[in-house]
Amino acid sequence: MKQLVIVRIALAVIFIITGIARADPVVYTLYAVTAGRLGSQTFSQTEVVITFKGDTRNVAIENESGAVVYRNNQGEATVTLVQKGKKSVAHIGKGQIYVRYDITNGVVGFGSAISPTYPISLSSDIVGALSDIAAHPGDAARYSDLSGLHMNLNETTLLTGVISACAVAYTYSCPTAPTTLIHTDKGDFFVQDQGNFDEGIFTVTVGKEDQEEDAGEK
Amino acid sequence: MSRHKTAGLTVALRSILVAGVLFGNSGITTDASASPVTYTIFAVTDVSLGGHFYHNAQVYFKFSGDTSDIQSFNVTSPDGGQASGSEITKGEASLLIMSGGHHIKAKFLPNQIMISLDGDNGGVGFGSLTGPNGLEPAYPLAIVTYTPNDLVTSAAYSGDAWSCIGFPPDVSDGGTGYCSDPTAFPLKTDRGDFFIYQPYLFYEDGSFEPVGTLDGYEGSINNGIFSVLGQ
Repeated sequence: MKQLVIVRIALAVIFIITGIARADPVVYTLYAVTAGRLGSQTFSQTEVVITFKGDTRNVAIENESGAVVYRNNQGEATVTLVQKGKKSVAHIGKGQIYVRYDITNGVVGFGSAISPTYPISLSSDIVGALSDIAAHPGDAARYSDLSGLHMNLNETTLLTGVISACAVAYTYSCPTAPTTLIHTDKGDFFVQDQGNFDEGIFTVTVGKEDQEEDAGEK
Repeated sequence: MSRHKTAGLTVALRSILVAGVLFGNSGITTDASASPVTYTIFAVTDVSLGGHFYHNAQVYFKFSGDTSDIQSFNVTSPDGGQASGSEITKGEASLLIMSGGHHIKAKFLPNQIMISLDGDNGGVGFGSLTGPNGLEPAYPLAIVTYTPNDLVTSAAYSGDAWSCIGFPPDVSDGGTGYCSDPTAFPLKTDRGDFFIYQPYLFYEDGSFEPVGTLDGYEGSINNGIFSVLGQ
């Protein structure tokens, strides 16, 4: 009986240690150029950076209508506008956005109650290439070596793509701003892409994050 | 934007800039206004500085100059391509690498880095007075994008990122189909030699360019963001 208790305790300790080992801080960052509004400040042709800090233990894999989707719903998000070299940082309300990577269709970015691909998502480029290779391994010859890039939200990687920042159906461009906005500590926020096929950068950084503020002026 | 138009005009841009920078070509005019202007470009890519290699680092370039040194041009290349745009070679250029929690800054030694904007074809970024022809408009880092306004008005632009010696690489426009190895063309900084690579590429399937070569428009699947911090 005593041995059984010891075994159970040992298994519990192993489980806890394993759980801790799989729990790493993670930062998801999307860089783009687009238009929109933050509080009373409208902007266009502006660099917008959305950052989401979370933990890899909260990454879940889901099946959405046959598509394999990684999601991380828990974290703290900010939106930063970079205008004339100055940054305006707003904290996005808790639960307003989540991280989503549809590896079947090649779409990565941030989703919300407004849409799973809004406020902003990327497709094509590296995101599209990885999904292409996953579906058709022979297509790997069409690309340089992408084997060091990861199709999940648990490992440090780089993903790039054409941005979509539209809450409604596209016509030629995004016709209107959303009626439901994202709440931040600097007022309501929305983005609306300008139909210029703007390109974006999405990074996943696991573990120690870069301290961008310490770097001084870029 | 036409792929072939882009390539041809980049050749034209390269020719006129080499002439203008080295010999004071009379086809280049100088804008009159004078005020400080800063350009930045950002990408996540592979670089080497002072013998240290950084994989998928956040790389920021910065160039500070004055709008009075911006020169405009409007040229026709020998193959008939048209090019017009702006460039500035006088200024101070620096570099910030962010990788693995480390931040590494360096200053480029003078007379290496330039900013050019190919307004006809939608290309803008940090070029250099290096390479086999003495000028590379897409090395260390430039983006192919929709037409920026100018090199004066504050705005940001995104596009396909190129770090290519030998841009445009298109065989149909006289290129080799590839970008050259930058090893022979170090950019000099106060922290040693700097190199930037282009690890993420898409190869042609033979529809427009020979199989396995690069197209100057869609050959890069990496992206960058260029900003003008001016008026």
